[in-house]
Amino acid sequence: MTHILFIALKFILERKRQTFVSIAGVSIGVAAFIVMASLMNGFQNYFIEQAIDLNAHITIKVKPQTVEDKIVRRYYGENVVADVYGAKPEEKKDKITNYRFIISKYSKEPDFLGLAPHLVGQAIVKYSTLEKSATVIGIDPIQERKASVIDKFVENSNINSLLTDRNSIIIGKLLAKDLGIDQLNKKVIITFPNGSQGIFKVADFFNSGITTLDQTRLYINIRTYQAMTNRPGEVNEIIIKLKDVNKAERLARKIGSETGYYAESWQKAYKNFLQLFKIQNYITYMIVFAILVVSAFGIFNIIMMVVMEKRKDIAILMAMGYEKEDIIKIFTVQGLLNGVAGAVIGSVVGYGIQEWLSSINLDVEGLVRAKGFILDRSFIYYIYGVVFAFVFSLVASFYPSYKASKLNPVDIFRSG
Amino acid sequence: MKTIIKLSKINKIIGQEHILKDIDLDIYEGEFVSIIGPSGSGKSSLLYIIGLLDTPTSGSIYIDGNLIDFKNQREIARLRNTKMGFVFQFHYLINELTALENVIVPLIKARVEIGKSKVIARELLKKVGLEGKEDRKPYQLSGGQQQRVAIARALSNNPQVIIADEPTGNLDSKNTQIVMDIFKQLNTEGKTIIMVTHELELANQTNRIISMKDGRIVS
Ligand SMILES: Nc1ncnc2c1ncn2[C@@H]1O[C@H](COP(=O)(O)OP(=O)(O)O)[C@@H](O)[C@H]1O
Ligand SMILES: [Mg+2]
Repeated sequence: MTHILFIALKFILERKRQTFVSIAGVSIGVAAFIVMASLMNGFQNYFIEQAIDLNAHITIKVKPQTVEDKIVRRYYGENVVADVYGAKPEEKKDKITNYRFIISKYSKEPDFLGLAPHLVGQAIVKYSTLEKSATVIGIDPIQERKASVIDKFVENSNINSLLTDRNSIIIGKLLAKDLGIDQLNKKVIITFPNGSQGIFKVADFFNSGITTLDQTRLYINIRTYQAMTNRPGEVNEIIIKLKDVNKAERLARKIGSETGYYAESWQKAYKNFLQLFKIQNYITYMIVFAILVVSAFGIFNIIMMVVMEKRKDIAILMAMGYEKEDIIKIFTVQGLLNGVAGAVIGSVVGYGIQEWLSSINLDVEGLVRAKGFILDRSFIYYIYGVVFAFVFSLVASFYPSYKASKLNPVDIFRSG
Repeated sequence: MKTIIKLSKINKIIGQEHILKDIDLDIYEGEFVSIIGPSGSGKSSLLYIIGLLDTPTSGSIYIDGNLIDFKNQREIARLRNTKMGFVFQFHYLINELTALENVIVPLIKARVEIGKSKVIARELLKKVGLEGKEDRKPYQLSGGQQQRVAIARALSNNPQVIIADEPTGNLDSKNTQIVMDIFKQLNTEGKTIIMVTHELELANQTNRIISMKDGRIVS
């Protein structure tokens, strides 16, 4: 191996400019991969984590009414079908009748960590002259804690005040902001769909980082909500926390078929986002792949050029007893050295960019709110980057090297 | 006298061209043989086959009495590396390497470690009169010096046979004589030398002259 490294290194070091360019190409590819991967996965993982925490692993809901359900009667005529729809939606359907049974049944199963009842609806919140609509979630704070990580998102941990003061609420941070509330203990007026009104005290802020939730959510004690809306003892949603979030799809199906209610896994609830992430990943990796392909062409180019220029050297090496494999190795090693150097520099640059990105302090407001970039700085991306660079440079340099080994020294000596 | 290389009924045909025709030739150990003949008579082609660089279309080659199997390229590469040294009309030195590094190229292929290779190479460069020029790149040397580096390189694995194709073809008369003197010196030290030349004056300084015409040995 000494003879191969010796000659390969001498060849490379004598063409510093081209070597520099091709190493730079690989470095850019590797650095781009590391940074893109950590940015994208950082954001997506953060989003998914928050989403899982916020929306429960499985939510049992009343089946959304389909068009079919509203058909009261269907007439068949010659070449026509006529449907008669019910005039008004059936209100009494928005209710899980046997929720106590469901909660106690699944509480006993080992896959489930906790279940909590919700009564969810809409309301108008008024503070001074400002009015906003909100999604009101009636919760039982004690059970809620077992089934969700609500504590994580409640700014001052005052969730128990929903118990001590039945007329207190926890309000979304952005909703509060929109209403002009910046302090606790402010009083707001809430108007419920049935027309009843009440005065409530802001006991805490709910701050999840997910913009749409913080703009609309409002938590209230479920009993207060039931009383205010005249729906005593009613529950229309059950949230469930699982031991293993990856089992959500399967368990949701099981619950659905066992209870007859609509059980939605977090994956299903966030289907659109997960789909979007897939496309986003696809596009990003395509771009990075393209960069790597271009840099591989750089390597291909330089090795091809060296082979063309070095025909006489190849001939004399063969005359002196170097075998075809030696020739292949001499040139692939040059490609690999480019690739490995590029991978190392790319990793260092990638690390530097990660450091820089994570030091940036800016308010990101969009799908999520964050202070700066959320990075997933796993070491695995470095390994992938290095492996890609290695494989690409190997593939790129193999063909020219193989060509070199096929040269016939006699032809070259004859042509001078 | 021991036969070191034996050719038997060697033919070489490329396309329509019959380049070598029924060549029978014995090279004896310690000989200094010259091959002469008009341009295109097949001297180089014969030398490539003797040096195992090219495969004959038919016929057999024996080295030290062993029949060469041209399918065994690994063994052939090993023989070229250790048994033979090549010198051509052009020096074929590697530009990126210094004189010393050029000389160690066959040594490191033979798994001699670099430090030891350099000692041997220094010795050989001294022998061809290039002491002090070890660290020069080929383009920093004169034509005669370049050819002497090539000779030192051909000698690096202490081969039994030196194969030279018009080694002085590009040299002036002074350098030609220097190279010729080196060859004669090597021959007295026991090396077998086979040299193609078109200068009768040089051929006359060797033990035996083989004359070629139209792909045949005529005398
Ligand atoms: N690749 C080839 N294809 C066809 N003819 C060739 C080839 N190489 C050499 N020849 C022919 O073989 C003959 C011998 O060439 P060569 O051995 O170089 O002669 P010399 O060295 O005596 O000048 C010449 O006629 C030359 O044209
Ligand atoms: Mg010739």
